[in-house]
Amino acid sequence: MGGRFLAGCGSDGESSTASEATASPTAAPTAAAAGDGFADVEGLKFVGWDFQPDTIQAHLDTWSGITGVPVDLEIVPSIGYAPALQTKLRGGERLDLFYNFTDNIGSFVEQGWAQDISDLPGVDDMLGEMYESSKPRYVTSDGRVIATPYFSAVHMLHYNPEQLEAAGFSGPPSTKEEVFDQCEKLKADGIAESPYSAFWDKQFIPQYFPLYLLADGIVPFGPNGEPAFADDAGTVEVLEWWQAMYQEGMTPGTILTDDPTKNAVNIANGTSAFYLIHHYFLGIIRSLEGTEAAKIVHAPQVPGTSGTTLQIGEVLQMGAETEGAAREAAFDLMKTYGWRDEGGDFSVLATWAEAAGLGAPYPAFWADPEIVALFPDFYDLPLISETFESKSEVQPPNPASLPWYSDFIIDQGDLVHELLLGQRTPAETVTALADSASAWASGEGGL
Amino acid sequence: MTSTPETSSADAPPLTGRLRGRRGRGGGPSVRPRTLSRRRALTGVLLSLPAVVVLVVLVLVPAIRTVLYSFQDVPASGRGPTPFVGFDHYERVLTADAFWHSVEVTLIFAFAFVVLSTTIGLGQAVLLNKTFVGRAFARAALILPWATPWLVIGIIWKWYLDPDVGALPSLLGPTGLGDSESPFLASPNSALFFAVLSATWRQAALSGLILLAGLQAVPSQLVEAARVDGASSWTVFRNVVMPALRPVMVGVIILNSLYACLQFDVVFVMTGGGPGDATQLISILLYRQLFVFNDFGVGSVVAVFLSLGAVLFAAVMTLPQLVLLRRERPDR
Repeated sequence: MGGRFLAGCGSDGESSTASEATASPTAAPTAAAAGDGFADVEGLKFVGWDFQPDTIQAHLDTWSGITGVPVDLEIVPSIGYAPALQTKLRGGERLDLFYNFTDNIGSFVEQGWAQDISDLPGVDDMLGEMYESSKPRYVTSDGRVIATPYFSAVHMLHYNPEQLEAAGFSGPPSTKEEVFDQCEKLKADGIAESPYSAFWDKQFIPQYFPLYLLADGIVPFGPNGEPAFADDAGTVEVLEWWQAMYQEGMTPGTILTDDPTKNAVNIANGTSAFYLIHHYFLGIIRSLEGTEAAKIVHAPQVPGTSGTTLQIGEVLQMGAETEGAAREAAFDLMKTYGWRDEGGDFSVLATWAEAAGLGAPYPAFWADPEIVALFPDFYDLPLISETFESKSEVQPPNPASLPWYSDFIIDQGDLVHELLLGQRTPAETVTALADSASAWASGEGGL
Repeated sequence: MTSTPETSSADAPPLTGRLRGRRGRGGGPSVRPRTLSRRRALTGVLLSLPAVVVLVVLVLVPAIRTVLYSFQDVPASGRGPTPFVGFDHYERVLTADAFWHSVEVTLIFAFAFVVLSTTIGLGQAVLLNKTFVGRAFARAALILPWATPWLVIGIIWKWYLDPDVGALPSLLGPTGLGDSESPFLASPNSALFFAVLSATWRQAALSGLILLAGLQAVPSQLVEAARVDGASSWTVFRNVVMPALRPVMVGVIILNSLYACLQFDVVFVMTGGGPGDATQLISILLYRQLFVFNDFGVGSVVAVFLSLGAVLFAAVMTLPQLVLLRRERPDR
């Protein structure tokens, strides 16, 4: 199957790759096993965003070739993907499978747009192979499985060892105070003009807010999404640090509106010495032609007293109206896409790893020599795997159980920007964030 | 005003030989002219029907639904009962600080956008109406900004203003304006200003094209007569050209006002409504309510206010020109 798959991707299908070599004794229950069960399925509708649409099409073609079920792929631009998807579903369009953002998966089930797939064959096997830390993304607090992986990643600190050495530091910072001190020295010595980069755009703040709290051992949200951060005095300290970093010029002045590529350019050309972002951004940074690009590496931990980081990932969900044999066929495709194909290979996940360094929430994925070979040497894969396993969390826990969370993230962006601009104190920001979370949870959020 | 065939069939042009002499039903006088006019009317109705259907389906029905939604509790899924809640959503919007802040931002943005787009467009039109070497090229170049999608303009301007690689901070190098110490999009005040400027860049091109067409329609004998009488260029422009251009100017201002109030793409791409909420136009607030929060009741209220506000704003912005037009042409 691997060869056929690669042929679909433009390869000659003969070369040995991960897709041929990652067979596992825990191979997914397959389309073949389903026999002619899909014979009555007229076709599936699949919606994804525009990352490598040709590769998506190739994956679907391969699966269709095996199962005989045609898949109609629709690509929606990633800018505005969620509104477009919601508009389709709201308008009654039947979608069998679609990419979705983690923060939205709970609300999609609540709205009746996506379904519980817990009863389908192979769900438990898939979850059984996952890191414990990753499971809450796909499972609600009451045990319903409502999504499967598309890709996964962990936030890591990327840094330039030579710049740090030039400033007299022997290694990367391990606490947020050390980050500030190192940035201050790097800036004062003229080594890095804006030493610290992060994607502090309003829409991305909701990843950094729980991330910085986790790193300092603060529990961001309780099991039911309650704003536990408000009860920890450390939250104010984290926000004070955040505000100081921006106000005192340790970050680029445009950081509130910069996109992640701009931040990658900053560290690649030496303007910044640090960049806190998903692990796979190291590939993007290295691919840039900046003078410092080739020097950038992963730090062993995100700075903070606990060093715990945020695990992120986007998902595949099944539409609510997919039933009967089509439902089983759709789940077979979900397994192939987000876990193993019928030969037990991580064939689809392998292509995303090769294309962009994207990860998967399975220890076996990171341990497989063929998968490892797909990553450039500069990725510290044991560190990434360890981070997935024991140094990262999904936050809030079981986001699929919190349909209101996708709304609250907007308020997070607004409130933290006001903090950074000096329009709110850290203490006021904590109170406002907690009030907002509580309001959304009780259905009173928004205007 | 010419009479319609119905009101003065006696004045209708003579019938063709093919029709002449035919009698109407019952041997009475011919009713052909009336039949013909009805046919023409029917043809007009049939020809405009597709456009009317499109307008009803794509504009009128959604507009009515939006107004209805603004009084209803609409489930985000779009399925299930939609009970009427009276003016609850209106009360919620009108008491929200975020809404009034967006109104303020939108008014500032819209006023600056209309003034700049119209005046720069007028300047471009006047310039391109003169004879000079390369005029044809310059006229063609004027179309380029207009041919560029709003989204792309947002991306272009974001990079153009970037303190590290942007052309504008580089050009302003010695002054330090826009450099990494004071980036244009980092300050709430300058972010809004540059959002206006980038959107204006496109809209001024359209204004210029329309006004150029208007200038070319100004009777040249009027201009020449004024010059023969010894009028200066400014006097000719003010007293001869502008009055003739006024109807076109009214149209341009209405167009620019509506574009200003409905602007979304450029600002969203450049700033996402930030930093903070410095560039959060009503259109961005609307987007969030409808497509992020899926709050169709409150979102519909914001949409209703935005629509009414756009019409009101266009009327206010056009009023001075309409007053002048009335003075210059009392018959209009």
